[in-house]
Amino acid sequence: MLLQVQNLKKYYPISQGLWGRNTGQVKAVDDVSFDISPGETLGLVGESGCGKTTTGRAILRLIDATSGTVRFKNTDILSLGKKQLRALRQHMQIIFQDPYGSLNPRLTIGGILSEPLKIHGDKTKDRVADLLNTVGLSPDVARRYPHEFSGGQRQRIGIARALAVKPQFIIADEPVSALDVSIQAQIVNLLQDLQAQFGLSYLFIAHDLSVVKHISNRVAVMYLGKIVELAESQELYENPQHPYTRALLSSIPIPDPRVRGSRTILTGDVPSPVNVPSGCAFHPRCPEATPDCAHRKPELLDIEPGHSVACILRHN
Amino acid sequence: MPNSVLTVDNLQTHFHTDSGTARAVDGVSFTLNKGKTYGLVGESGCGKSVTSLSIMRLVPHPGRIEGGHIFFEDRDLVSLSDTEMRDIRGNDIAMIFQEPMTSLNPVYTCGFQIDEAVRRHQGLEKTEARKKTVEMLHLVGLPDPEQRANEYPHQLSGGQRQRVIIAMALSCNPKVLIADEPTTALDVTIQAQILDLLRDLQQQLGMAVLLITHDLGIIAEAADQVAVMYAGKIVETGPADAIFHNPRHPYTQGLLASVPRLDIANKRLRTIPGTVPEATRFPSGCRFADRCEKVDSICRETTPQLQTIDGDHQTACWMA
Ligand SMILES: Nc1ncnc2c1ncn2[C@@H]1O[C@H](COP(=O)(O)OP(=O)(O)OP(=O)(O)O)[C@@H](O)[C@H]1O
Ligand SMILES: Nc1ncnc2c1ncn2[C@@H]1O[C@H](COP(=O)(O)OP(=O)(O)OP(=O)(O)O)[C@@H](O)[C@H]1O
Ligand code: SF4
Ligand code: SF4
Ligand SMILES: [Mg+2]
Ligand SMILES: [Mg+2]
Repeated sequence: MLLQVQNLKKYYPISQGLWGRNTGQVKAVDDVSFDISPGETLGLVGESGCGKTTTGRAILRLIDATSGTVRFKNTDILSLGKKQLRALRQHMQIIFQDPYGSLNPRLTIGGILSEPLKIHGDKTKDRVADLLNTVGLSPDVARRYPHEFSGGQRQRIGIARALAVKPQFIIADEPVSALDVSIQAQIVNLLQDLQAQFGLSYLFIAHDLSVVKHISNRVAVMYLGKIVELAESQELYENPQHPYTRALLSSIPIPDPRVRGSRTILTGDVPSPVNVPSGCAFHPRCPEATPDCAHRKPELLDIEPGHSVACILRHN
Repeated sequence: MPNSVLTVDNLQTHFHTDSGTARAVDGVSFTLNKGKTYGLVGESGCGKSVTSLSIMRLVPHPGRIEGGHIFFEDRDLVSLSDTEMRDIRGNDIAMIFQEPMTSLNPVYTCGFQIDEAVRRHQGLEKTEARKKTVEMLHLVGLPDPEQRANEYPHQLSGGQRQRVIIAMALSCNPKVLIADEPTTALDVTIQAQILDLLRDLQQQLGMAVLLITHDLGIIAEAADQVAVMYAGKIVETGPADAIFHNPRHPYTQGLLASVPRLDIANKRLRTIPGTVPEATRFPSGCRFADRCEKVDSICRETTPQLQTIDGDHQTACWMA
């Protein structure tokens, strides 16, 4: 196993009033467990605010988890000291949604790409040219600045920067959400090519299930800080078991006018993680909810090898 | 056509900027029909929003409508005075924008803003206006409409705000509704609610809808007729079924092949190489030529015009 996440939690305190007293908690990530094998892509999907980014950042220790363990090749990341963490960071990188905001506007592309290299002492210039080639850009662009590039090109630069330290694992947080479809396809293909070339593992975070299904080996569906279903991609799409997964799948418009209609449309809004409903957090919107659901918290359990679901109707 | 409500004819809207003239909308024509949804699809910057803003006569500086006509009930909107246009806007032709927050004023309650719209356009008294407001909020499925009317925009969720915007847009029974990326800012489960709502309301009220989106799934789901826009021009148009099952323009074909599909296992996505040209620097001839795999010498010399393929399916490509 390359990465093992166990019972990861991240609670944010909510402070209110004059004295900033803690008046509650946002359970942004609430007991999340999964693992990722070498060369594998795990997709993480769910609606806005369900905790995808927080999960990714807690794994890389860009934020401190409240509790839980994260093992990378059997090293417990959450208990590492600063120095050891920096060494480990070479193996784990992140690509952000907004390629523009994440590139320093005052540095040239060459500067941006050699920044991580300096720390680890490499033959900088050749390596920069090499990296640019790898992501399909001309080495000439090294002298130019981020604002001179289109969104898709900037995302390529973001990917090149992540690759600079030769990582084994990359967290891609909505890497194509801000891009046009034709450009999105270029980046998705590039990520797949790089994976084949370097044996990379990805945690691919997105709210677009079609993209996630396309790129992932397995997919985890999150709702209000918890994973509600996890399965092989094909299995998840062909045999979804959690009522939320089913609704999510059926909400996505298929680009074919001949398959119009007959969708499960969820009523109500996505609740805030400040006020998580009791029992199964999905029960106020669940088309299959039973009176039990308001009291019992369903656990994420295997219903078949490799397919786990957190719904009391699917257990026993 | 007896059911035609609004006809855009050879619309040209340009922006005169320091780096040259951006021909954002360059000879666009289409017709909106009663009770039908016309879908306008294309990638970022192709001119979708400028088209809709032109119809509303809200093109921002330094943009200007440079040519063409927009016929609505025997009048050409392009030549109306600002006062005449103000009467039509929000009354006969209403628009909902991508970002719900920008079209609601944060300092007034949602109800007050709809009250104002119906008082201005329909001359209703205060209490009658509120009655109409509550009725509209009820129609768009906002829970507790009486109470919600007294809340401020920030007290509502994104989906609820979009419902309020729709209520406001429809409060004066417009004949034309322009929806510019009405669900782009929303989560998929909420998007499905809003698209469903728009379809229901269109059936009940019979207005013509111009639906603008970059999402081919939404177009397939909701549009009767479709126009694919690229670099300021419509490159292919026709009934939804023809566009999705018999696309003839290489750009339409490329777009469809580059979307990952839930219902089909596609191993590798097809891509369209390169990027969209900048509106100030469109190449001569076919604007897709630099990215097209079927490009021939004629393509760069002469701009292809829309030609009929079959019925009202048309495409602008020399090789189609
Ligand atoms: N620094 C913070 N302080 C307090 N709450 C936070 C903080 N960061 C995130 N949250 C809350 O944690 C929850 C999860 O946020 P997160 O950004 O992980 O969601 P997400 O799934 O990535 O959503 P999106 O799809 O919008 O990116 C949200 O409700 C958010 O408001
Ligand atoms: N205020 C402006 N000043 C200068 N040029 C503008 C302005 N607004 C739009 N344009 C030009 O018009 C073109 C079309 O813009 P428009 O907003 O219609 O694109 P769009 O198709 O709606 O894209 P998106 O999907 O990103 O909303 C842009 O490429 C730009 O060149
Ligand atoms: S536990 Fe109950 S409420 Fe939750 S998903 Fe299952 S059926 Fe629905
Ligand atoms: S006209 Fe030529 S360049 Fe343009 S789309 Fe057709 S084949 Fe391609
Ligand atoms: Mg996020
Ligand atoms: Mg737009």
